[in-house]
Amino acid sequence: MSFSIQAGDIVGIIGRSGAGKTTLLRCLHGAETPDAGDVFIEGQEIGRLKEKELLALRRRIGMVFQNFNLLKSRTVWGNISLALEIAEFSKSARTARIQELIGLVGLEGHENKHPSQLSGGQKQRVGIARALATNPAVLLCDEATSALDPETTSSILALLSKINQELGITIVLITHEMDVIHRLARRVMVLEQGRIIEDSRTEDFSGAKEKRALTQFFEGEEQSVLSGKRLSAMQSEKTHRGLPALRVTVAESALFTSLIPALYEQFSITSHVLRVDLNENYYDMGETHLIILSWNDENALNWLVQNVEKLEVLGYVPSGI
Amino acid sequence: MSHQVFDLFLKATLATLEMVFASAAIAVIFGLPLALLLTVTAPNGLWPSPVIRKGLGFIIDLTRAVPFIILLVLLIPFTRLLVGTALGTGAAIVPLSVTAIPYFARIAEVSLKDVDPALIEAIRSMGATRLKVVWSVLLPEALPGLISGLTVTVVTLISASAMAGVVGAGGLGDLAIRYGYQRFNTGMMLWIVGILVIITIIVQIFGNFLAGKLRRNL
Repeated sequence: MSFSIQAGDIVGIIGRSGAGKTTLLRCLHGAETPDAGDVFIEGQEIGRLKEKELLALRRRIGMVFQNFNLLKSRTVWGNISLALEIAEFSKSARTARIQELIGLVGLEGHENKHPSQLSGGQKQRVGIARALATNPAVLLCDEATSALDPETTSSILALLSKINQELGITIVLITHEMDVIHRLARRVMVLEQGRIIEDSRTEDFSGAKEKRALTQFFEGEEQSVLSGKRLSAMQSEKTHRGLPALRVTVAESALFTSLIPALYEQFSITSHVLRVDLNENYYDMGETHLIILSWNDENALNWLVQNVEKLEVLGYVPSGI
Repeated sequence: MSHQVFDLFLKATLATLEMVFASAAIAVIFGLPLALLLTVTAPNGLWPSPVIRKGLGFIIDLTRAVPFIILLVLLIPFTRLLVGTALGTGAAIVPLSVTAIPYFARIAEVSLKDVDPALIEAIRSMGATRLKVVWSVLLPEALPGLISGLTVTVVTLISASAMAGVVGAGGLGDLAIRYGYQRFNTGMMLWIVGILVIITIIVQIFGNFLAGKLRRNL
């Protein structure tokens, strides 16, 4: 793969687990050396750096982690201070900078708390403050919101957006949540089996190639509303030969996110999410997803009916697609 | 209890405490670096080195395999070389330390390995040197476990110190053998057992309190 990221951009890298997201991220800050190829950050080639230069470069990259990775033995203040100690800031410089950062991420009054006394969102704010401490050029976020509930996710995404606008920091997000990409990233890269299979501005992004192949079946359909002609073609496929295409309405996105793994766990069914109508609700409440199941299973459908607001079987897609 | 007997008890108790805490201190001074070495040379450690880890592990396990009572006798020439005599409280500190160092090293190793590798990698990715990681992440994060480990070591040393009476080390064990056993003084024996139990309980309570206080943050 080959790509470059413009300074000040927000890039989302999305892919399933095992697609190579984490490996890519590790290459970006020099924790792993690519088998072939080079990584340049601010014009410096990472592979050629000496240990000392690499450490110095890492201090120019802020890292935000899914599991926060805060020191339990240190307070909020102490955790932010660690990044500055690593970069060898003097004590007085540290104090001033920490105060500034705590204001930036909105943690005033929590300075002396330990991570165990904080909520997930607050912990991630500490993580972000720590990552920003040394004025990095790039902020790498590894599933930074995956451990958070939807509401907290929103507030963290808003904070990241503010940081990007106010400080002009380049943000690289690694995530498996499409939602996060839509809400924050300006450019999206889809990773699959170690390759970039799509790279586009977010507004042009339609989904991964595989999903696109399936989507072509629904060509010309706007949103999740299917034309009568397409529907009747699909419905003519016999139930047991085709893959069920469903329109699922859920009250909130978190429910949907848990639905897909649950389907897999209970019925070994994988699902292709074709379209997500986040902004335009098909029904009055919640959001609507158009999905295709990898297997036609009556039990799974019955289970789904009980777990979503509304379920419609649109028809059956020929399984050879 | 007569004045002389009380004096006897006081002296013996102080001798026991001296042996136990001196050897516990030595166990930390030498055992902790060994534990660190075992941890950082592990395959996913900061300085992976199977040679050092296995070699060190072998020596530690070898020392731990020798029963204390045998170690006590085995080490007499070494003790004589080190402190000039093989008799008395000072001399008993040598075999007690030799037994406590690998014991504490193994216990401390478990606490150090409990520190989340993802956390260590995260701090490394921020540009921290390996020494900084050891000093600012590994040790502070493992501290409550290290304190618990030290408590266990001290309790073990209390019972081991009673055996050191064999080499004329003095202390409560010595008193128990000479008066309680050889002179059939059951009352005295019970007193000694009582004192040993009380010391053990105090050490355990204090250790638990300290570790608990630190752990509250975790």
